[in-house]
Amino acid sequence: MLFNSLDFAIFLPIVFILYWFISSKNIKHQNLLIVVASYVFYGWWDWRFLSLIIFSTIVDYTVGQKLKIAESQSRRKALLWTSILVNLGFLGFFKYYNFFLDNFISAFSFFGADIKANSLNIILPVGISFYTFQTLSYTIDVYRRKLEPTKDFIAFSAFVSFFPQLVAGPIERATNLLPQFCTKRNFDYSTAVNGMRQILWGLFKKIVIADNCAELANHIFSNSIDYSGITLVLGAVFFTFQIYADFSGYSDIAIGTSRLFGFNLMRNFAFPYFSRDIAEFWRRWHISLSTWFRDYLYIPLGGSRGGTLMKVRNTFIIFIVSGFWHGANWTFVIWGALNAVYFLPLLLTNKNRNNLDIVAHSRSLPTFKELLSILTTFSLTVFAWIFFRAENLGHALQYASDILQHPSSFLSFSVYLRYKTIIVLLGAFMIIEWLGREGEYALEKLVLRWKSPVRYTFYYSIAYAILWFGGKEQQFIYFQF
Amino acid sequence: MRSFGSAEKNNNLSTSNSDPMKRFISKTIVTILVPTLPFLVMELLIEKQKEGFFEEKALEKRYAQDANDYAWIETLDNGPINILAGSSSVRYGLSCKELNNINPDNSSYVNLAMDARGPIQTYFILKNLGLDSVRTIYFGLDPWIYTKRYYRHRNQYLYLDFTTWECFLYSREHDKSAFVKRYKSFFRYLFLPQPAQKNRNITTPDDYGSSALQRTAKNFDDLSDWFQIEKYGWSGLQFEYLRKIEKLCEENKINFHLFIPPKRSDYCEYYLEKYKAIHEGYTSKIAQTGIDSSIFGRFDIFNDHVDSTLFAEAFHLNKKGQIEFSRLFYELSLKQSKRFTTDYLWFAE
Repeated sequence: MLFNSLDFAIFLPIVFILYWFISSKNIKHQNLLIVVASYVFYGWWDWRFLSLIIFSTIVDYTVGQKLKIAESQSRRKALLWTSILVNLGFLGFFKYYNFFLDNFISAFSFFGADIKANSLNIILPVGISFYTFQTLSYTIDVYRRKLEPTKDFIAFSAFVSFFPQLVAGPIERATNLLPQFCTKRNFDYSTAVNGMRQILWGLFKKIVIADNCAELANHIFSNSIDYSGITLVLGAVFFTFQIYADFSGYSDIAIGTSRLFGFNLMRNFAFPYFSRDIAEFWRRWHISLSTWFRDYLYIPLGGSRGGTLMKVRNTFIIFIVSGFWHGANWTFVIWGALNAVYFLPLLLTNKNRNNLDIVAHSRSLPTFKELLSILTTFSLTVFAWIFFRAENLGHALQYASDILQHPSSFLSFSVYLRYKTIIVLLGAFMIIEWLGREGEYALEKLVLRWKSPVRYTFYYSIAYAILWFGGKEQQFIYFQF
Repeated sequence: MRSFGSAEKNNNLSTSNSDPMKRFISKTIVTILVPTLPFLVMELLIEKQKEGFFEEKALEKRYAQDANDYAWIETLDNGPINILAGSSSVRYGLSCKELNNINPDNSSYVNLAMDARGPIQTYFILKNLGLDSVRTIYFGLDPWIYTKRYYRHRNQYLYLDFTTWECFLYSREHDKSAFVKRYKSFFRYLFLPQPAQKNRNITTPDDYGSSALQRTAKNFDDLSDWFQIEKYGWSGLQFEYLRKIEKLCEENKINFHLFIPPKRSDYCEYYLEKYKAIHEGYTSKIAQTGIDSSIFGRFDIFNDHVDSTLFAEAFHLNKKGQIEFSRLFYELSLKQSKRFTTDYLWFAE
């Protein structure tokens, strides 16, 4: 079920009413309702893959219980690896089987060996990368004794399958989300209103910004050989906004929906395109995944301790793995590696934690230096997204090199004019994001400064823009990851 | 270590949720209702008035002036007139000059087809023209013209023919201003009796209204789905007015014939594969109106030729194709004797 669908618009109020009015007397009933609703939500796409979620839930719940009583380190390790192998086994099979097979065949044929093996026609279960990482966080935290395993199977099932963030995150930590399923939820008016506001902003991002940018970016990337340099740059910029508005829009709707049910999910985006360097960008982009990799991969590998070589190795590992997490294609690996190359100079000169505060905090405008840093970081990001979006490496390289051809096209006013509507929309969107950058999402604090009539006019304008400018419905990009 | 209890220990939820909850729900409903109320009122009014929108008198107000574009037909004084009518495939598919050259008698051909033109508009043009000297009307059939999906290419007044849901879908998919146009049309229906007077055009156009296609026609540039019957349905009005044209001809003792303009072979294959069921629905809709005129022509009539040299694109003939089809059309029009039935072959067997 898509958040931007009529199905969800009907589903959400029904679950909300059942949750607060029918099952509100008993927390177990509420959790059970969440599990059932989440399975319906997921099964709406393909009920067969529910079995994977249920299997993962049973395995991790059992491993958690056994870890509680296991004393010897070797047994604990064995249990941890059981969970890792089962979860990553599913992920590896459904997501990476064909990729590895094709690459093995290519590698062997390069050396003259003719291997015959058929690729499988595998459907990638929606959200598998997200819920796999979420359940793994539980097992690892229990193994590290950071978290006491829960006895409550229903609460644990609800944690694994919680529908607002099941298919595209934020990837929650068991230490944050699981306790919320075991404590009573009181309906809070201002939290719910905040949730509604965040949902509205998320829908605007998705339907107005992402879907419109998607149409243009898809067309330009699909026909890139026909376009001049400036159109290719615009295509990459449109994709840059598409992926941000799509994914952060999804996160906003997920977090906003969770608020309606009394849950507090972690923040996933913090205005990444206003970052002053790449390190700051990665602290602000897909925070739940970056911190997951930091805590469960980077730090165990030694993090930024140790010698220079170790730092370089760990940085490349984490960025490449992060790229590969997005999909079984070399383009994602190169995208990850490119970001590692951007990040390394900052790490090696100890400047990776220079920009921890909000840019231009308590000022309306950035300084010239800040503006320059933001634009430089943005440009580097746009360039990296070309590799992320391209069909394959050849396409990415061709696209990037074609940008530099016909530099005179950059002065062609008619090209900008052709895309004037989306350029105006993006301008308005970025202004709102800039003004609201001190909140958790753009509208959170911004609109509260305004008087009621202005605020409601603004809400209605957004709703109107969703109806008027809404692009052709597209699936959320991160569903495929 | 982070610890938390099981759910049983915390199962006494606060019952004091109801007040903020009531406030939240009522405020949400009001917030949603405020902008949707005028919309709901408009839609209700439209639903109540729907019958009246499409009475012949009401529609005539929208279309009567269009006949002024063809006032030149009344000025022709060289014998009986044969009218070619339909949409772009007729406009670009037949050359009146060529037909007039081939035709040995003293009658002459004029073309009042236009891009995306359907039977409704054609009917009112014919009705408001002097038909005294008209001998025959040939009407070209293109199935997609009879869909609601095609309303975008028509007088926006027809947006009133959508249901609210169809209009919503249409606004998402094809025309963002669908509701605005619908409401504008509604107000025009209520308050403005007639569109502004059009000047009578008495200048006979080159080739008597036919036109050779030099470039790709704007409405047809790919093989996208123009039917979308499952979403928007057929336009019952277009079928009704096709029958009305036939009746108008009967009343004025004018011969009325249907014909099928040709399509390029790739489209024919595509159509046969994708739209078989839709085509059956289409022909039975025509049959249901009671149409009993003769019919000739086939979609794939040029498929034996190297038809890419005759077409500008999949649906429209180019200059060369126009001449070829005009000759073929003339021959077929002399022979036509089959009556319209749902079994009529649109493709060779």
